[in-house]
Amino acid sequence: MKIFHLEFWADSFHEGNWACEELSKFFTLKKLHYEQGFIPVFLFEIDKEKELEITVLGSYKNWSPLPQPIAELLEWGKPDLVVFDPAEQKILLAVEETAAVPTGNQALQRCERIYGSLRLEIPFWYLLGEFGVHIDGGVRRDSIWPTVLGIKLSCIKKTPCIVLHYSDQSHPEDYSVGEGVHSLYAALATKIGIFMGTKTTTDLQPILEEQYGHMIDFIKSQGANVVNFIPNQEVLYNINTPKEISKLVTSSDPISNKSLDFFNWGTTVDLPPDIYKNITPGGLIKQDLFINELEKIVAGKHAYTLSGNAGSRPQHKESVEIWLSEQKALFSTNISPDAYFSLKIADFPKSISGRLHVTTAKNVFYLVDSSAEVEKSLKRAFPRLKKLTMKENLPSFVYISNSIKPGRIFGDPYTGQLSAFANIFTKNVAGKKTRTSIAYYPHQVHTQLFDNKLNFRKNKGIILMRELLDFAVFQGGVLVDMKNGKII
Amino acid sequence: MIKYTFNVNEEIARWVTEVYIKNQQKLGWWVAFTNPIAGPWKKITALNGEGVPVEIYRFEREGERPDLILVNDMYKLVIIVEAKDYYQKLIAPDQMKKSVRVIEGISSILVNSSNEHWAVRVGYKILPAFLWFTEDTNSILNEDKIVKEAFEKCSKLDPNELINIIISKDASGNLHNNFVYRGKSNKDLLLEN
Repeated sequence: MKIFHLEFWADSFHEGNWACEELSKFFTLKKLHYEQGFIPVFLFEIDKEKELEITVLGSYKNWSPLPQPIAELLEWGKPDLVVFDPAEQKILLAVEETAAVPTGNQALQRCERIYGSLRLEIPFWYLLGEFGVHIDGGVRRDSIWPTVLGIKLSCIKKTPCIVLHYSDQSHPEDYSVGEGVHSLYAALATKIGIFMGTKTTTDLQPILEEQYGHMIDFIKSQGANVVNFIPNQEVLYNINTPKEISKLVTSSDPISNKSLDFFNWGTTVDLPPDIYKNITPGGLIKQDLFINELEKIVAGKHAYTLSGNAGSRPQHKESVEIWLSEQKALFSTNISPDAYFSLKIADFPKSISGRLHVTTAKNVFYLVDSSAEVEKSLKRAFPRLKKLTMKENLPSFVYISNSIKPGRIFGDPYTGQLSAFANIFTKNVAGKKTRTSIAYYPHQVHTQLFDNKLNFRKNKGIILMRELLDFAVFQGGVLVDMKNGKII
Repeated sequence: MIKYTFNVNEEIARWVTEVYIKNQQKLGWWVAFTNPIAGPWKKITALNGEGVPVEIYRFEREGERPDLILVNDMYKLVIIVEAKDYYQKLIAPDQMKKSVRVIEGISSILVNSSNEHWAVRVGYKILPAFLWFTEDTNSILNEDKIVKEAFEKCSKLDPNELINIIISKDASGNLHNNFVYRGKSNKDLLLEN
């Protein structure tokens, strides 16, 4: 009898236990016992010659030694379940599941985990409710961005990255409604079968094909509620697309994914005529020199946005004063001699409630036709950047975070936004760079990126920014080349 | 195979009790609610006529929740549990006030529930409980006394009705439940109304 061993690492024992219980629908559960009075050990009979023993280890960080691959993955957020092969010290897959539909910024928070897993080429399944009850009592539907990101990263990394849904409009947040839960565990059981040699990737392909089909159907159905337009619709409507993606992510052979050229939001000349015609600047809530310049590019129809509904969440004046004072203290002219900290409390307009607006643009990012246009805008807004040259003249993606509190840009929801949007808008599905990636932090100070020796500090946010950005522009027009750390 | 060692935290301590409840079904206890970090468990359930758990109450996203709710239909008892890794955290004044507030809030929800699947249990006696881990098996009764005193200062409920569930580790590293009720420690959750 050959016994295979796996470990199910989980945030909570319930997650690991639940996964094993669901697996018993695919494998025969022979025995369950609890080591040391609480560690579940499931023994499954696979066939007459093979058994599978799964040990559930809940609460990741309470165990020692935490396997290094798991520790590395956890730096990007804790997935709810990690299936780990202890003999090979290899993660087979990770699962994230949420009980409620994430709304607003929350929808993008999980994108950091998706990216964190895929950058390590770890297959990732994300299970969430398609419909959920918002805090206001209304029913909300999931955002398309995690799903778009999942498909795009699947193609780029040739690794499954799946978003599955449960529930429906009449049964929001109900795990028992819809195919999501069953589909997740069908994939999990097949992946484990591949691990044991009882299944092959050919067995996984039809499951993935169905899952990618679901993802594409969801985007087709929900896309118009989230963005002005989705490009390359013909690929989304091609019935072979899910199969093509499933082949791509399960084959070790290099496959040309030319036929999968989609989710490429191009330049303004590529826009559908009705969308091009309606390109208009969205206006600003709080004034900003650089964003005003970007708005002018939009007015000239050389840049566009996909939605203009970024809500303003005004902040208490006292908080803004504290954060401004902290940012000012962090500002150092030693490393950027002609820059100065110019923000003052009067720059922030009052809201009806008396709090202060910190939101600048009404959209989170701009898609600009060329980096030369962005370069000119930066020079107009910040004359000190007159010597700036962006070497590649590619179209540009300009992401904006209005956060003021020091350090906030290195955490949720900003790292999630950047994980989603930079991957979606700056690369094609073959992983080729299509846009220069720029972030603008008008209320944050650049020194937060560096240690005393002017080396990049090492935290998740900075690692992510270095991987996904070419340039980051901070308060005072201080520009940091994120690839080499050069400060202008 | 790699042998992992562990530190007991609230999650592990609570899970030890849940495993006990699962393995001792003859005693009649079942879990109506548990508070892990995520997942489809953020609702109170009750067993329906067929013994299947059905939702009777769903917590608001930011709503205060207990850590565990146990029900026994034979004894007609409900136990609402607040958990921490060590008793010192439970007796901190703000924490004890919060725990009492949660226990009283959940009691009120259960007593006033009009859900058809909870209806037969509306009159069940509700007992407050705390759960934690101790490094020292010999101090179980002493820690129980300290927690009971802290509870008495913050709650109008009868401290003699408090159950403390104290998780201990034996020489082999196995974790055990110690159920302390009215000053007596028991390895089993045997309470009669």
